[in-house]
Amino acid sequence: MTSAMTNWQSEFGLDPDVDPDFIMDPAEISDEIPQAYTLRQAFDDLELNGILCTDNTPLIYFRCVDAIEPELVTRLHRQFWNHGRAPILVLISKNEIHVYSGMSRPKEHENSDEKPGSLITQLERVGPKLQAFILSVRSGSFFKEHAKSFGPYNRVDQDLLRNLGNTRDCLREQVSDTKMFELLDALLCRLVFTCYLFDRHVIDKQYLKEIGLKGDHLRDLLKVRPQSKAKRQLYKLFTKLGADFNGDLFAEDLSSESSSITDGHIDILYEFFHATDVSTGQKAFWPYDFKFIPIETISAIYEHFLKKENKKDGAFYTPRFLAEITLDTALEGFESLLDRTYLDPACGSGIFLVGLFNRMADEWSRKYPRARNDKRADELRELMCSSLRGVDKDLTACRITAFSLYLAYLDKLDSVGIQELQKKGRALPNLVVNPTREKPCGHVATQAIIKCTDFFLENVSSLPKVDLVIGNPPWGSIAASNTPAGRWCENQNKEIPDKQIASAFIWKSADHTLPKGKVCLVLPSGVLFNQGPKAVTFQNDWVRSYTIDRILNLADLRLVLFHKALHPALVVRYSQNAPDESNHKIEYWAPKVSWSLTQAEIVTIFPEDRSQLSLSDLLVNLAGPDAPQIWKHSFWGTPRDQKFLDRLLDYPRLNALIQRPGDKLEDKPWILSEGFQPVGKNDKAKALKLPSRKFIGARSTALNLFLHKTDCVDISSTMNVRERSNSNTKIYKAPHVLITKGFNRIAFADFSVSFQHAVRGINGPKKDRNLLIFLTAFLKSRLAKYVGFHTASSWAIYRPMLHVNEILRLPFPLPHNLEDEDRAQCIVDEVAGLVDGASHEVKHSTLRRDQIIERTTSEIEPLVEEYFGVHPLEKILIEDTLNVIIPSIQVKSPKKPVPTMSYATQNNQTIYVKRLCSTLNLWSTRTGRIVKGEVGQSSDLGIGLAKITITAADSRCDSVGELQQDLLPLLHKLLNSIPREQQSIDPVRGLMVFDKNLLYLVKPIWQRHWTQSAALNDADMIAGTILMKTMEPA
Amino acid sequence: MIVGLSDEWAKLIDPLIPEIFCLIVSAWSGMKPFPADQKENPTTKKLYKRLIMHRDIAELPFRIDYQLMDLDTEEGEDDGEMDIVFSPTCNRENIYFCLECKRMNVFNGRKTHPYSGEYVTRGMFRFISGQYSRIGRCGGMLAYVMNGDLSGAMSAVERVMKTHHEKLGMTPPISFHKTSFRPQDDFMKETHHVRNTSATSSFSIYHLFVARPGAEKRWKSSGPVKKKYSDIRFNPLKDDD
Repeated sequence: MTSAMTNWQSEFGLDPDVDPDFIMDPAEISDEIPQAYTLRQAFDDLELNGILCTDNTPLIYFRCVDAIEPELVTRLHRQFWNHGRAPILVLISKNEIHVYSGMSRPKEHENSDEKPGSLITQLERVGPKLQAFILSVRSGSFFKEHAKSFGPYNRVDQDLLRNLGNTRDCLREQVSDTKMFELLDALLCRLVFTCYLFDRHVIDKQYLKEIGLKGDHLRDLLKVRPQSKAKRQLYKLFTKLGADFNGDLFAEDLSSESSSITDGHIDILYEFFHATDVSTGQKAFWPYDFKFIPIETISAIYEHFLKKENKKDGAFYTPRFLAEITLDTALEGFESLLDRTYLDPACGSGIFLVGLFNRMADEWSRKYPRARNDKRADELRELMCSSLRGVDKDLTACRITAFSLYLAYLDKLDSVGIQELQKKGRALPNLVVNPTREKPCGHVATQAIIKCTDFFLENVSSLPKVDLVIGNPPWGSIAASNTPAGRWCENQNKEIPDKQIASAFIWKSADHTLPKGKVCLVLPSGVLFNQGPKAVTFQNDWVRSYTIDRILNLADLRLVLFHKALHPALVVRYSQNAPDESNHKIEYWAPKVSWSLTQAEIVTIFPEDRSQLSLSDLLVNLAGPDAPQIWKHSFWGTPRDQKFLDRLLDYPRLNALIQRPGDKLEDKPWILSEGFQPVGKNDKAKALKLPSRKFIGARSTALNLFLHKTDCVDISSTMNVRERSNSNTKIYKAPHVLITKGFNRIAFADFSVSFQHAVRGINGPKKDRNLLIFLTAFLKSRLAKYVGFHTASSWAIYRPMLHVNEILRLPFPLPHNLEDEDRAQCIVDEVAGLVDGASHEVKHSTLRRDQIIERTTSEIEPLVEEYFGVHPLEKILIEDTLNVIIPSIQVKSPKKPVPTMSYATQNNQTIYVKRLCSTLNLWSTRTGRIVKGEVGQSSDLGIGLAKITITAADSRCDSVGELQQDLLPLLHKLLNSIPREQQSIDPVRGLMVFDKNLLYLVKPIWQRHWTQSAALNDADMIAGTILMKTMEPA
Repeated sequence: MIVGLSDEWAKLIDPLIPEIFCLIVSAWSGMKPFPADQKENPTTKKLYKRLIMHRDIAELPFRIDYQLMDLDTEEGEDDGEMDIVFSPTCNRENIYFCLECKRMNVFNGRKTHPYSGEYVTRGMFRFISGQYSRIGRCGGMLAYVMNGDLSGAMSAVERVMKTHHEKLGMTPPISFHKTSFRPQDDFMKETHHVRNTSATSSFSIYHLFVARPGAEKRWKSSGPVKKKYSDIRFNPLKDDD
């Protein structure tokens, strides 16, 4: 035991007996922790003394050392970086504590005078600072303050991926025949595998010597010159490995492959394995150590390679974090992973199968800790072959899956065990079978578990039913009726809207589960958010046929985590049985971008982002005209927003007034249609006589509130347009409202003007002129933006836009629909007067147009809100959505801070607590008591605190004050006051502690948690808790 | 995570039943006339729509649901749907207040049916048996008096309550009591009960009798709507004087 090890954890304020996120003894790791295997592996590989997790993900690794010496630091940091799991390593010595980044590329032995680049900060061993450090990491403020030390770009998987990608590109440049690409990929795979065997000391100098080769490592073979000799030696080694290990990795005809490899290829491989950046030629320190790089990382890297190739098939890379989150979700509730079976119907590189095998093998090893090497090898192989099944129609994918599983399998054996296995020969089974080939790949596929075929060509007799189907199936509109997926769905009478192949996987995966079996898939968000009758029918069938128990909506993380992903992702877990439609609840989690995520890829799900939807509510929504808006309401909307939206959406909608082309003819006063489509090169044309020569383009900035003739250009009154173009010219006639696609520009025009199909027009009779102006004002209003944001299927999910159907679903009551019809009519006329006045003013003062429109808009806003009966408390919700939420959606880069990721200011907190107190006081008027509040915050800790005190109603004091206490001791006092069984709570996630006449609210410091909307919801939560308490028996 | 709710805080907010009834009365006052033979559900649905559209709902920490199934019904009980339910905004699993609606004095073309028996046996009984508001100390009954004879409807209900007073857990003399928060209102009353089930024992039911809009004006109707009840102290279990 080092001297540093004495009670270090309590200095950090950590107690493994109380805090389930802090682990000091690997034996204490509960199997209920989804990533138990990862944590045990970290303890073993890195000889750790403790791990702090968050949301089941490792956050900090603690390691005690005698002294923090440069050489030791270099070694430990390299191991830690290669391990690639936790973002922070803390080295603890007797007198000091060093904090290192797991996302800083290791460098060669550092100069002892120079601080290592990976060192983030040094801390003294004094309690408060260490406790503050832990809180700041948990809250994410540490990642904000030290943002430059983090970021996934330099993490081991991305670094290795970049280098391998560059190497592969260089290798490919050497060949003209693209058929060689597959061969080069196989070679690269095999080299990484060989490197892995050397780094783990499975093969060594002696192994090379036995086949007449000299050297210690693969690198030594590659530097032999001439290159032809190096190649011969390399393939000699491959042949030996093939004989010893068998398996699909060495299944191809090596001698034929060897003849295709050139000297240039050998040079490139030499450079890669000697740490020269093949793209720049720059020499560097070889940072990789495959002894520590997790197998899933290698698997994920290959998946990336593979899916880059297969974009046309809709296949995309499954990042490691996504694979882990999917596995955690899928396996929750499985008491044991052994004696169960698993299928990945689109296995790619096998990232899920590898993850499953690692977890199963970990459980097996704990069950049989004393198993001998040969038994372990046999049993684990049997476990792999009897439990796992994978399908992919790409042969390279199948081989990479086999390769990943080999690595995972060997990883579970020690080097002696592997050598024993190797002596027996054929250490690894053939795993891949390709039914389209006459003979199985390579040798006899006695234990083929990876099937190279189209999932939709398999039936349940050829592919057994399993306990869990898990996977990231391809996405895209590619399941046409002539494809196996399309045919299968047609035969089964299953709906697949938009030919989305992922939907076909949803149906077929359930067919392959045993009774009570589960399916967990990564899916495009469109399967829940898309509108249209087919999409709604599909969703209805899905939620009624199978029991969906959890949905993880990752849409907000799209641009941070999926870099080039076009479509946002969902993780959905469901079981094969039909649900109880009255009582079933679906957990709906929608995490948002945070500093922990952008800098450390740690997905934090705050309580605000977890909701439960009842299936009965969902079914009602799916049966209604707004289907399927329920997912969107609960995405960014708080309970208060949902209540407000329910109210607004109960008004008559705009579509009650508007006739569209193709609609059943009804008695509706207005019409809507898009403008004409200009004729293209190969289009059939028709002539269209326009009612006016005036024309306005969709990009014209003049499309703002009102339009003047002078804003338009003149065109011919007869246009050649596409044959299928809209022919109804009524929409070009005044009075009309012009709306650009995307809902960005909206203007009223009092004269006839034409436009192309990027603009839609709403025309009505002259008597409705004022109403159409009011409609323009409403569509441009904050209220419409608010409703649009919380109801549109694409906004905040994919693109910030409203589809035409969504515009027509906006609430738009006519004055006679409202309680006070006279006042409503007055408002309509007043707004029309304001717009007319502004339009007139602009005619005489063109240069001031923007200011005039801005002023008029600000005069119109309160009138629109009055028309819709918006309560002052509801205005707060609109303000916060527009000012805090909308600017914060789908963050691309943390370099541009958005409100939700900014610290709440003292002023934000003061306004929050004022709103909280005034709302609570609204409900306490008969009790003779009121509340007042104090606020405090610490960006060092990443938390803010509000202290609310009950006082007599007649007491004279300010309702808000500044907290005159240090936050850290106060927080400790609060945590200590909590009963021991509840002390496990993570204070930075949100905590309400009632203490006599005081209430403490502890929340993350981020602005999102300190808005007035948050205050209203918190007040509701407090009131709800109190009121329900009073309902209980005395 | 909420920890350690103390009695001091439990006393901060008075039960918001007066505010709920204020909202109901206000919403009802704007109901448009409807036919005397209109069924109960369409009326309740219209009232519900008016409640959720009411601007003042923003001032209450509740959301309102229509015809919600009580998931806590015991075996053997029918799965009655509660007509209108007020639940905490942030925790919809809990039900704060349930309102059961019944038609009374319905003319079917030949004669007027009082339906006072229905009011008691298919309304009040559901609270007393614990089928509704198992957790809770009070509930609400709303009578749509179709012919507008509010006093007549109330007397009829009182008579049935007397017949069933044991089953209703009421102690004689059986009658309606004034409500603490609307004592001057002749058509807003409360009754006190002891429930002999696994549900909370002491229980109050608030009764509001409202006239169908468009009914003949020969009977006295509910008093003017007060905007706020902030000056009235309210205790749902307070014995009537």
